[in-house]
Amino acid sequence: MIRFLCRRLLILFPLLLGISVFVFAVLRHGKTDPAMAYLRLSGLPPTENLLATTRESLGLNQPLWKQYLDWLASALQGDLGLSYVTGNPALNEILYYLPATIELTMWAMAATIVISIPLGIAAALYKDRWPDHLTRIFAFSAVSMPSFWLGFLLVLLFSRHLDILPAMGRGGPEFLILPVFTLSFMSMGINIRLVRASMLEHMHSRSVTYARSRGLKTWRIIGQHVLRNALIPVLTSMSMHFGELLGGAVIVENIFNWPGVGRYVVSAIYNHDYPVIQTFTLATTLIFVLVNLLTDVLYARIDPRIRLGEGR
Amino acid sequence: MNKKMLVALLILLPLMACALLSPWLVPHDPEAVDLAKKFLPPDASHLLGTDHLGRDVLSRLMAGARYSLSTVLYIIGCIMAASLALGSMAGYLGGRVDSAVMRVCDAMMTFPTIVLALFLIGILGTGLTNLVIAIAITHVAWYTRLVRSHVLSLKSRGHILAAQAMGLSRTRIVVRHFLPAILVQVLVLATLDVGHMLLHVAGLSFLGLGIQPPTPEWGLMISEARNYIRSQPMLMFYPGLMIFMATAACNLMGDALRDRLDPALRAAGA
Repeated sequence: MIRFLCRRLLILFPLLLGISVFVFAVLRHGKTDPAMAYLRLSGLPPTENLLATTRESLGLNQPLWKQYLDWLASALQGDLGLSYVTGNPALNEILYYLPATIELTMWAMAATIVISIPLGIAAALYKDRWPDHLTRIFAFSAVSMPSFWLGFLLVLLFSRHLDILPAMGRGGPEFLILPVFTLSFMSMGINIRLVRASMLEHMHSRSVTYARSRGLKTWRIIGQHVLRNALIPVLTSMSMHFGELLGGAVIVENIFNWPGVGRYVVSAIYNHDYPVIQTFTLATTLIFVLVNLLTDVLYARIDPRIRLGEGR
Repeated sequence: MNKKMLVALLILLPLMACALLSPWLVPHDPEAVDLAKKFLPPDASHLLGTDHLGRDVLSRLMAGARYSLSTVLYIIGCIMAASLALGSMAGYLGGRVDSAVMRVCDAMMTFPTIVLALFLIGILGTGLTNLVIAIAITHVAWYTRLVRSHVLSLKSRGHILAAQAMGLSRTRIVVRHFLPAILVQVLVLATLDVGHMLLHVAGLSFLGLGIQPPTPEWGLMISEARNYIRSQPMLMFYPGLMIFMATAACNLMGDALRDRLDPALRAAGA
């Protein structure tokens, strides 16, 4: 286990380095001149002289590799620049809005698991009968549904007509219901299909045939032989869902005025607030990478084949 | 013909007709503002009514098909060009080129898709071109890996070795012998992704980061209608329905193609 963890951590460093190089390269090749954007948002007239001094103070005159190393060194110390709009450190701004987004994402993750796994299992057990048909229609519409449309339909139904749920903002648990459902809808659809396919695959495996021939009860076969194996690929897909949910939160937060990092970054994009955009990208990607690591470790704990280095 | 494919075509063909012929088919100019006619209820002249600027909703929906479908085509074009070039280079040349391309792909695949698209748009700016670039870049890594693995498996086949022995140039071998075989695989993957891309295009335009007003793009129309959601809910309903139908049809098409090409899945009934 320790060896697996070390190996997995070792892969992490070149990956993070690659991400940082990519982010830096895109930043420096953007069309808009960072010095110009900085001056415009500070409300200063962009004269030649001022542009030159701003470039100097932002370190834009040095060779690229030097700029990258400086950028990386300060990024590692948590210094990702000041927001052009508020003048506060960009990292503090992002960290201020991040908890609301994490709250939304975690609840959406929980909703995805709680709803999609039983439905997927039911669809597999009642294959080609009505529970299967209904679940498949549900899953199919879920993967084709634009979240920003679903959100407004839910608002119309539950806030306007029935008047039982709040349409926007963050507060008690009743504020969570609509955004969480909107956000997790697509992941539910994908996961239902995955659980169903994986269940069907394992229901026909040799160990199951053997268990059946020993005369074990059906529910025991399903519980002990099918579910255990069938849910392993579902577990690995969880990290993928987490990434989709984290990104999808950007749209959902804008629908429901949820005060999270996604709504903040969209306004930052309107304002050309590059330090904030960059911090958002690095922070969410880092979270995603860590969640990936966590699921890999869990996976290895459950499945010894992975831990001992087969299969990869 | 299979049932899924039939349903998909029944939805997609009218949409494609709208996309190709909308300049001639639309009953009104989709961008003509007439404030005297705002929020008209549906009647014989405006079958679905008018929006907050007095523009005909039906015309805007039809013209919207043009923007959504063509944007996705641009994206797929960019992805194909980039991934075929990078993937065949990596697979055929091997060595350092290969590991360099693969490391870049690994790094790109680490980002959550929408986060990467937001970052690229945030730095490059909003608008159609940058939207296409951003969404294409978020997909290229997967396609490049696919192309590379196919090139690797083709490389040791007899007809490729024969071509090499005959002294054909590398470019000629790649263009004449690799690309035709790989193109189909890439197209199938693209069909499976089209629905998702449509949602990305509409979603980013909804956020105001993609196609800009006054273009009649569906996601943008939802975002413009959100201020009138209580008084005029239908303005938001129609474009959403279009996005949903188009995405559903593309997903059905992808499913049908995959069923046909993957007998193992067909047997499992997935």
